[in-house]
Amino acid sequence: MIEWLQGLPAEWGNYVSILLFVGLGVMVWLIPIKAITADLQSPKKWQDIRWWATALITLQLGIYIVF
Amino acid sequence: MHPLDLVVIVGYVLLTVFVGLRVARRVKNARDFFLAGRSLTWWVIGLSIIGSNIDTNSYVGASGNAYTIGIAQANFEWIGAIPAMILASLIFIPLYWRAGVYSIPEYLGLRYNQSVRVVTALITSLFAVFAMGVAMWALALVLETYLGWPIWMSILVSGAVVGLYSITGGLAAVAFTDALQVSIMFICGLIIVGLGISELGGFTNFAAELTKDNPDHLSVYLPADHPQSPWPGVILGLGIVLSPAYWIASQAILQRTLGAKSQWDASASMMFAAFAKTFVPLLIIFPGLLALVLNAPIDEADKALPWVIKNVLPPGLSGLMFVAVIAALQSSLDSSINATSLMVTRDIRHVLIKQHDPERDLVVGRWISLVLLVSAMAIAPFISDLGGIFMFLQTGLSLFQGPMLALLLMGALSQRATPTAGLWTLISGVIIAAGLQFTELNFYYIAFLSFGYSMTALWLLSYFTPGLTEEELTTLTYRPFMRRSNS
Repeated sequence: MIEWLQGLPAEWGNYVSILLFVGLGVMVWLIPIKAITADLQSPKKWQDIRWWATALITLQLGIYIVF
Repeated sequence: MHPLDLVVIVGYVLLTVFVGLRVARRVKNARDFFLAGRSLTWWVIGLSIIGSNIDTNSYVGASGNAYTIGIAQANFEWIGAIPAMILASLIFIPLYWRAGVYSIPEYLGLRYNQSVRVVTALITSLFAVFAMGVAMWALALVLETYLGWPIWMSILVSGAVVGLYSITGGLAAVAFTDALQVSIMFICGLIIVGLGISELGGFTNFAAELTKDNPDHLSVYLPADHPQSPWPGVILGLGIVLSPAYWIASQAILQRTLGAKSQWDASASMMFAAFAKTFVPLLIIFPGLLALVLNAPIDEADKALPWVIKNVLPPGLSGLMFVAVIAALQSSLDSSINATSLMVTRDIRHVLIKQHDPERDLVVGRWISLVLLVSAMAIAPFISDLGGIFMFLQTGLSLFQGPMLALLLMGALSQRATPTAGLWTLISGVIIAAGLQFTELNFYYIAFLSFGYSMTALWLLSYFTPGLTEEELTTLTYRPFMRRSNS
């Protein structure tokens, strides 16, 4: 299997990374908001860190698409 | 050295000690010392996480590797960090927080048994002492190179400065000084990027110059048969095993999140740290690329960063950059002292010494911090002679990461994993990983295979052994979709 992996072109690394980040993005939004802001009295929109994660994943997608 | 550089360096040392000692006045008990009294806010913790993560090896070694292999080195900051940091932020940190633990071994002790707790704490602590010795040695070398101090004097002075605030102030002092140190690192890194790019007439010219003779240096992935950084190995070994094992299980990293003032602050801190981490390559990768484009006359790749500091930065700023390198090292060293002291005080002492007095944790923790610091200082001058032992311990730790990640993942995300299965998976997983060391496989693949074995073994062994009760598992497993009772 390792030999098979070693024959794959380098661009596939970018494609696999993009897929991983997209999958991670979907997973982030499957987590209910209550699990994130459980101990906040009246959570504000910016305190929903799923948005932070989405911005972060978008940045990473940009990197792995460009480079 | 320019007098202005000296002023900057002395000013930095005084500021660090002042901040550390000011925070130290708040320490009244072990909870204050080890968890900052659970008072830290998200952005302080986030900066502190990055401070603990970047050490001198990152600075010097990563710049050197970037000089050799290009931005593929940045995978350690991107796919080799960000996904795991997001998972840590959204799943594991809330779980550790709710379990009310002081450390990751303590969580493993609750989820599996006290043997797993002691074994993980022992291995991590033993490695940490040697890692601190190496850090101290690296710091002494930097001081010797720039200031001309003898090694023994560099070790004594740097040990005294780090010890002064980390032993008196505990986690709070460590976190606040880390935040200060990371801010300095980022300011210096951005100045280097600005000066370097402007000297080359813009980013387009820089990129053209870089890829003229090194076409792969702006490719984030190298060919799959590359001996140092094969892309499948980077994704499978680094991205899926080593990186989560670090960001989900490292006590030195996660301890400050357990010191947050709320669960939200703890989670947000890791997400904030991930943003900062995305830009860390500007600090540690770019100088290596800049040295290459400017045709630095260096015979070793690791000299790329020192060359850039000396030749690209003007007086005052080169002193500040020197400070950034010291800061990187100090922030890793102080975190390691506090985290290891916690594991020895609670995870080893509390379990092995049945007659322990929890009221004495603060005093014991401070003494252990001092012993750890003095041990690291004593080991530091002999680190080149002890290279074999250090390599052995480092290999030992890498053998341990696949099985430990499997225990954490399955322990946190599934109710199936049982205490007996956990202990035997840990032992057999390390043996399997050790056996794989005798093959010619790249260490990324070894990490992935040992992790795969451990997940399978834990799953199967748990079928035949008794698990924890439903009540015990409530706070120890991640179940965000469970209905909460109104009682």
